[in-house]
Amino acid sequence: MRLVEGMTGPEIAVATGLTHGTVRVYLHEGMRLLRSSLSTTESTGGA
Amino acid sequence: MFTENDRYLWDRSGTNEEVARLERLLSPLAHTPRPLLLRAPAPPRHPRWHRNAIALLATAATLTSVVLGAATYRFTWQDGQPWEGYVSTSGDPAKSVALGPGDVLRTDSDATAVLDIARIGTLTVLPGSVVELVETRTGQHRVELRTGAVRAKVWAPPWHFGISLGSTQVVDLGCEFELRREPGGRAVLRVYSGWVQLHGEVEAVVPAGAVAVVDPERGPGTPFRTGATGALRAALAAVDARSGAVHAAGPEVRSIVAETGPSDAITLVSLLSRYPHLARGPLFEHTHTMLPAGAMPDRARVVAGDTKALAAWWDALPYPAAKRWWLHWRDALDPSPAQASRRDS
Repeated sequence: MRLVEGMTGPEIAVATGLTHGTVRVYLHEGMRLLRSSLSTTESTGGA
Repeated sequence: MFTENDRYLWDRSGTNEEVARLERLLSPLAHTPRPLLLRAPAPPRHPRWHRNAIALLATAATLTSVVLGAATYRFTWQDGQPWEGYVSTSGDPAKSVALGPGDVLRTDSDATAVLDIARIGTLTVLPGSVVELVETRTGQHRVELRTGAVRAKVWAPPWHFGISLGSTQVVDLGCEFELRREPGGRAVLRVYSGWVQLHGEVEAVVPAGAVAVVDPERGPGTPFRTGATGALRAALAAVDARSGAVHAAGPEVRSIVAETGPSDAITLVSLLSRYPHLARGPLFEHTHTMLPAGAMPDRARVVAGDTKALAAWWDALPYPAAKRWWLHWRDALDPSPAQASRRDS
């Protein structure tokens, strides 16, 4: 919702009914997983 | 702990090139709202028979309007407007003629006149005849036949056209007929299509194929078919001459019974209607044999003069109903004499 739809954290909180704190945690965790996935792809020669 | 880089991730405040680059890469995948393309509901498709039925009804309504309009025009006539036609004499060109109310038309021994009866038919005045136009207006066209013979062909509702014979009126019920009147007043009616009513001291209805004699004193006689035997005509004349005052089992009735068959049904039913007491005799059973119409009518009611008692027999007569004058639509197709005269001049 943040990177694809371009919604901000507060907008995500309103749309999902989650608290701001929960959304922050999800955003951090999402970025971590995305970095890990991209790093893995680069190390194996993936696109 | 929330860092400066996190602010951009949270609400895009500040900068973070890593997140911004990912946004640029992934934003093309964002949902693009588009209006729903809802197909308009298809119009209800009627079955073929339904569409055909609607077309037929529309056509029928149009045709009905045309027919009613034509009929209204045909039956409408300005009060006193003259009848037009022509007079033809052997060897001479036809001459146009117009006959208004009060006018008298006389034809020579070798001349024939053909007139438009308003717009409802034609009147042929045969040689040696004298005819007066008495009245002409919408729904009421009357002539008097003083002497001679006329032939009328009318396509109109009953009572629109009639011929006077003095005390007896010959009323058209939608038909074709010939009427001859002798100088002494005796007249003979011969019907070729439809019905004619004779209205006077007594009444008679004469269908196609039948003849009736009108006595200047007693009025209409009992109708008989064109091919009736001489013995039957004589017996009927005897009964009519005495206004039916004959014995129900007397010689005249026995002769009528012997000389009539199924094709004489109009004669038999007319006799019982005019002279109800004759139902006491063999004429009653004989009529039932010639004209089976379900159960035999109640003899006592017939003798008592109950006109409704003979309704089943009248309905069973082998002719189109008198009220269905429109069935003789062919009579309406003849060309107008006046138009023919103008075309040929």
